[in-house]
Amino acid sequence: MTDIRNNHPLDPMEDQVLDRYLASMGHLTPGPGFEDRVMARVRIRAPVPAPAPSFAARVVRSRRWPVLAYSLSGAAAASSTALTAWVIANFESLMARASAGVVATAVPAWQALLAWITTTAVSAGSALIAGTVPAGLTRWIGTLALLTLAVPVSVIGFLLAVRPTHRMRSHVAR
Amino acid sequence: MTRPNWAVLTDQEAVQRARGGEEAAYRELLRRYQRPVFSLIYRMVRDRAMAEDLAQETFVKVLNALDTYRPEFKFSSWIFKIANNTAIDHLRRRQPDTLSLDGAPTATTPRQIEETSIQLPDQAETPLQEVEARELGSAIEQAVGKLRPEYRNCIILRHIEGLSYEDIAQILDLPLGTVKTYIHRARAELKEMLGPLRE
Repeated sequence: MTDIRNNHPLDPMEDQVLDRYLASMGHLTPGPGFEDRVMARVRIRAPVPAPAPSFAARVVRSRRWPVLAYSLSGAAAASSTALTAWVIANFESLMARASAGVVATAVPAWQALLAWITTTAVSAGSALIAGTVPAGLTRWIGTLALLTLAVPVSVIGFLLAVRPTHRMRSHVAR
Repeated sequence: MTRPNWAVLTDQEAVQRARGGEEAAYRELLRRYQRPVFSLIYRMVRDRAMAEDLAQETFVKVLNALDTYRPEFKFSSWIFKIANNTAIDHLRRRQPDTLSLDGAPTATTPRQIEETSIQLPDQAETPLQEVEARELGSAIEQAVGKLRPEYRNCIILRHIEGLSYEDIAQILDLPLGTVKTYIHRARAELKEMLGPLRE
C-alpha cells in the first residue's frame, strides 16, 4: 500500500516535520582565530573625547544649582521691585521729560519731511516733462515693451539653467 | 566612558558605540554575527576555507563602513545583504560546484578534505542517536545544497536565520511575492528530495 501523504506537497504534518528538520540545521562556526583575523583588518576610529561639560551642566553636577537658582531669581525680583518703585516715585517728572523730548525731536522731523516732499515732487515732475517731450512717446513705449518682454524671457532662461541634466541612481552597497 | 552590559545592548547601540571608537563594540558585533554570516556563506559556496575568507571580507567591509549604516534599517538585514552580495560576487567569478559534506570539491588530500568539510552540530545523547542525527543532518544539508541558489538563500534566511519575508526580500533585492514563491517551491523540492518525512 502506498503512502499518499508523501505525494501531497501541502500535507500539514509533512510541513511540520520539514520545519523541524530545517530548524535542526543550525549555525556553523568559523575556525579558531577568525575574530582576531577580522579585527586585524578593521580600522577602528579614534575614540571620541567626551565634550567638556557646559557651565550649566557643571553647576547641576556640583549640586549647587538650587543656591544659584534662588540667588538669580531673588536678584531679579529685587531689582524689578526697586525699578518699579523708582518709576512710581518719579512718574510726573519722567512724563514731563518724555513729552519735552518728543516735542523737541518729532515736530522738526515732521516739518523737514513735508518740506522734502514738496521740493522733490515739483522737481521730479519737471524732469519727467522735460524728458518726455524731446524724446517722443514712441521711444518710451518701446522701452516699456522691452522691459515687459524681459521678464518672461528671464524666467524661461532661469528655469532652463536650473533644470537637472541627469537623474541620480540609487546606490546599493555591495 | 561607562562599560555597557553588551548582552542587553541593541545592534544599533553597539554600532553607535563602535562609531565612537570603542573596540569592544566592534568585537561584540563580530561575535553576534560571525556564526550566522559564516553559515549563510558556507551554504552558498560550499567550501569551508573559501567561506571563511568571504565571511572575513564581509566583516571587514561592514565594520569599516559603519558610518554608512542607516539605523532606521535592521543591522542584521544590512550585514546579510553584504554577505549575500559578497558570496554572489564570488560565485559569479567561479562556476558553482556540487555540494560535498566530505570537503570541498577541490580538496584532494585527507588534510584538505578535513579542513574543508562541514562540521554538523552534535546534539545526540547515544552513539546510535549520534549516527542517526549525523545521517539526517547530512541528508538535509545535501538536500538544501541541491536547491537552486536563489531558493537556497531564501530557505536559509527564512528557516535558519528566522527572518521575515519582507527582510528576505530586502536582503536579496527581490519582490515580496517572488520570495514567497521561492520558499514554497523550495519546500516542495525539499520534501521530494528527503522522501517520506518520518518522525
